[in-house]
Amino acid sequence: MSANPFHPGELMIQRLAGEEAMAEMNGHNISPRIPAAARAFVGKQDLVALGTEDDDTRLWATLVTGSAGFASVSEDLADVRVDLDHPNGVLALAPSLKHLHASEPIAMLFIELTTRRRLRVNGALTAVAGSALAVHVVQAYPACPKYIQRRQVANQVALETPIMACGTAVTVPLISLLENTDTLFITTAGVDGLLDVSHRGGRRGFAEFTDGKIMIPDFAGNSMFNTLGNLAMDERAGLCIPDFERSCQWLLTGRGVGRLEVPDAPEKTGGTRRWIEFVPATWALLPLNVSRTWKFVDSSPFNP
Amino acid sequence: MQLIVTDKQTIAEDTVSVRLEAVSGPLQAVAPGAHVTLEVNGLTRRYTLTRGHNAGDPYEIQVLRARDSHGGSQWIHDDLAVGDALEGLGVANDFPLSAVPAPSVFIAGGIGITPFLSMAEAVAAAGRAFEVHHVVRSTARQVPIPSFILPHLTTYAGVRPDFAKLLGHVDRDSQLYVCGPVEMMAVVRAEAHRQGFASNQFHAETFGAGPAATDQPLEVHLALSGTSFVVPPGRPLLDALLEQGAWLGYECRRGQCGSCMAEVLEGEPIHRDSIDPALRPGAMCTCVSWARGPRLVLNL
Repeated sequence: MSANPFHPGELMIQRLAGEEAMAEMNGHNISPRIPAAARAFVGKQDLVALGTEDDDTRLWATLVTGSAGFASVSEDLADVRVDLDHPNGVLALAPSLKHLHASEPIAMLFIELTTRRRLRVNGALTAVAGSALAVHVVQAYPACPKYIQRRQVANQVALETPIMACGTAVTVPLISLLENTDTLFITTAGVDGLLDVSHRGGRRGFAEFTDGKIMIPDFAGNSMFNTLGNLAMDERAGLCIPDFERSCQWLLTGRGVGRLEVPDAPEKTGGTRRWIEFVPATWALLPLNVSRTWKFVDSSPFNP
Repeated sequence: MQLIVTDKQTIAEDTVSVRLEAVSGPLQAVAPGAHVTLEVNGLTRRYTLTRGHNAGDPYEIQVLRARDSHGGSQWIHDDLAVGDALEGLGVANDFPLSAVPAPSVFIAGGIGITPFLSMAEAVAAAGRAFEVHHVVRSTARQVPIPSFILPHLTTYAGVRPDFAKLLGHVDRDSQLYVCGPVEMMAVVRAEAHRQGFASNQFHAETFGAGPAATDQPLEVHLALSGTSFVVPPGRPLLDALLEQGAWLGYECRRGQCGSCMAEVLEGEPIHRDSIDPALRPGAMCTCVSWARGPRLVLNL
């Protein structure tokens, strides 16, 4: 068998879930370059989730919008370039993106909400020049369409996009957004020095706010347990909760703890009884860099 | 994982059993229903393990000679010999027993009996009721069945069971397990659904999800990327799509995970996956499924 691509945290969760054999099989799909078939896909995307670490070693997940072609893969499939278009100077103020430096790790998740396709790329920044990021690919993964709600870009002006804000206390508007969300993104760090940004989706309100913590169910997936495995080694985590109707996103940074064998109602986790307990430390409310709204098409038939 | 063939026997018409042992160290024990992935004459093939469920056991697989195969089973039958080495790419279990303490109903088509030999042993050991229904082309094709199963076995040699009647007789809380050709799985699933069995009572693993001799070439159009190309029968649609630069996910490549689903805008898919059809409305699993053709339009 070829070398197992997983670190001890991932292996531990895979073993506890009894899914280590499946993880190893699916691990064969991880490649050190962008798969050739995904090159055109990346070139057509207009949305990417970025996982980054700030100067205070906090982790963040951020959605970045652009026009199709804002991201491109090099001919040799080893590098990705993302042009950050920020007509309103939003990204210069984003706590997650304002201080990026070459050689820092970065994670990217390209996700096409109309077709539920995605590509995960973990790598390192090779250059941050003006408004462009150059990323050297270390790992690229195909990902399944499960739990992705379909959405289409709506050609309408955003409903009153809120202005930028930040804070530490979790406020009522944030709780209300969280209780209605069906999509979020989470950044975690692996011991291999790589960051990972993953999508989490479910029915509206699948994530819950209790006792100052955000509880995110972990549904059956590809058995790799990159997020829970990373949290088993390093509790730092960043969350992005997009508001698809108001062209903004709520970014939270804090720590996450994997909870296994949680006694819960089966429909909440689809029977996995696994949760991520996220404890926010600080947050920022940020308009999308290129203003955009989406309309909901349908829920994933896989949602528990 | 280097494996060595330590025994090979003909156990029924067109069927051999192959015992595999590790070159060094003990093999990982597996749960009933698990399979091993082997590199067979340059092809990647999965076979259910009929032994290997206790620490220290060798592995055993049973292989039917497939007439229309790409050469995997032919090669095992004709060329593989005791003493040969095989590369094992891993073991996994896509077909585990349910933990629900309910009666088990195992329905096998042909060589699809293999996972049930060890699954029946496990449920018998747990003291749960079970029955085995085995559909075979002829009695000559029947592989040896352990004696503890015989009182629970109904064989249908050369006849198609009346699945409505079969399921009508079993406990309503039974766990249903089907392993066999994809068409049989679909018929049993539909009947179970009609009779009110919940989807989590139904478990399936299929084979022969490969191409059919009647498959016609497809003229595939990708609506989002605006490209068109022809895919010859026998070539997995997923491979052709990836080669043409159409991106979609993939994990199991055998119609069980739903990762490689694509939305069908035009054309009539021939579904060969084993996932619940309710999970793929308007879409198809491109790793194993085909279409009536000639035109197939996908939202990629």
